[in-house]
Amino acid sequence: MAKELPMKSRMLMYFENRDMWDYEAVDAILKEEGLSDSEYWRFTARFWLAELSISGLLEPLEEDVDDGSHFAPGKMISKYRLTEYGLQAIDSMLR
Amino acid sequence: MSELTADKAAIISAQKKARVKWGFIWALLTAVMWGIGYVPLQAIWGIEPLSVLYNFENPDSGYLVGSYLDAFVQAMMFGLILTAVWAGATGKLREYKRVITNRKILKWLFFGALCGGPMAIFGSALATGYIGATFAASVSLLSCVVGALVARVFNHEKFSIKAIIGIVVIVVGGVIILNPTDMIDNILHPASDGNVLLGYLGAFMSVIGWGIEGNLSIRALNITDADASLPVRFFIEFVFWCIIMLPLLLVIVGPDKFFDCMAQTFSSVPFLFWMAVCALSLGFCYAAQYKAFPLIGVGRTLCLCNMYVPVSMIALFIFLGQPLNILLVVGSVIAIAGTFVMYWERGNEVSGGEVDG
Repeated sequence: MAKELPMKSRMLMYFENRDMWDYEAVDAILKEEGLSDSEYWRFTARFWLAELSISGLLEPLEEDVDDGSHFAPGKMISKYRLTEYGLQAIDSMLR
Repeated sequence: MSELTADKAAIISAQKKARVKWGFIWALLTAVMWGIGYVPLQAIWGIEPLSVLYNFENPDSGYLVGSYLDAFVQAMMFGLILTAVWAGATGKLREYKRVITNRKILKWLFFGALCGGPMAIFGSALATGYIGATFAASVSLLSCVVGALVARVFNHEKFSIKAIIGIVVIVVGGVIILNPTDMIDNILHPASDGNVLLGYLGAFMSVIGWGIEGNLSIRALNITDADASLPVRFFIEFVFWCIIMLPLLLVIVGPDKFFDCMAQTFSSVPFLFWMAVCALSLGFCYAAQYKAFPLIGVGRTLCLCNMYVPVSMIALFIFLGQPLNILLVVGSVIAIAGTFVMYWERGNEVSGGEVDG
């Protein structure tokens, strides 16, 4: 059942367990979906996290600069935490 | 937050600025495409079958049936074209399937589509047909107010002082757009071609419908990719038209007229062509708007996208020679100013973590 959820929903659910850096969540979803080699999906998955943050389901905790091992050197990376509103969305729509 | 070195802080700040720039580009593209989209929406009233529909019987029911067909074909084109072109080209058909088969997510898109489609798009088509596209475009600015009121009631969102002032300003603009003395006069002494009361009713439906839709659909859009869930939203609206709205029309107008209308609609290549153009340009707007949200925030995106109203007035003036109505111009400028008061936030109020374009 869980695997059949939309990818963005799956990513939101990762944050139930712990706070994560964006690249950790992106790596996890792409591995799960077998899309690890695709730049397009890396970008897309990172964009979903930004959307989740702007709509208040996640909140940013920390920012840093990528040393090149995640997205590209000099890119901004963010660490997020699940919000109360995010947990409500999971409880009401994703279980 | 841990302390960043000055170098890193500078890099992050530069990237955030670049994102804001891209967000503005997406939002302004939305406004331009959306405004121009009103040209084909108005122009289709001049080509078959809509141009002949209101001649074959009395004008009242002709316009009504025309608006009905207009809204139906819009739903069909949006549903089919966006599914195939948008979800297909972005590689998100698998996501599409996951959204459309998930009942808890689909529920919100379905009720959103009901308010947005048979209520708002049909209402807006009525307002366009009976009164005109510039009026229909301007009046839909008021849906911001309905959206905020609905959010207040259902999500218990508190109004800030800024929001209250914004709402008051939008309503003042709305009163000028609706021009109550003119409206009452038009309703009491309708011009010969059609009953404008239905146009005002349609405008009312579009304001309420779009106001509610945002609050329902957003729950599904929050947790899905808009490139997949927006096509789903339009596809289920199309299905709803097929199984509920069209049979209803069949009952209302009778089988003879119904099949006559259908035959005329689907044999008119120019009509279908222009509706496909609408679906592509307006469909692009939806997608572009969702690209802008995480880059500059929801509030600023909505404000900028509302600039579609002046764009539509200019486009309708240039392409179709529709005269600029000074009251509509003044009213919509005030209403747009109200949306800026209500939604505009400073750059540093937008939560972080946006992605560069």
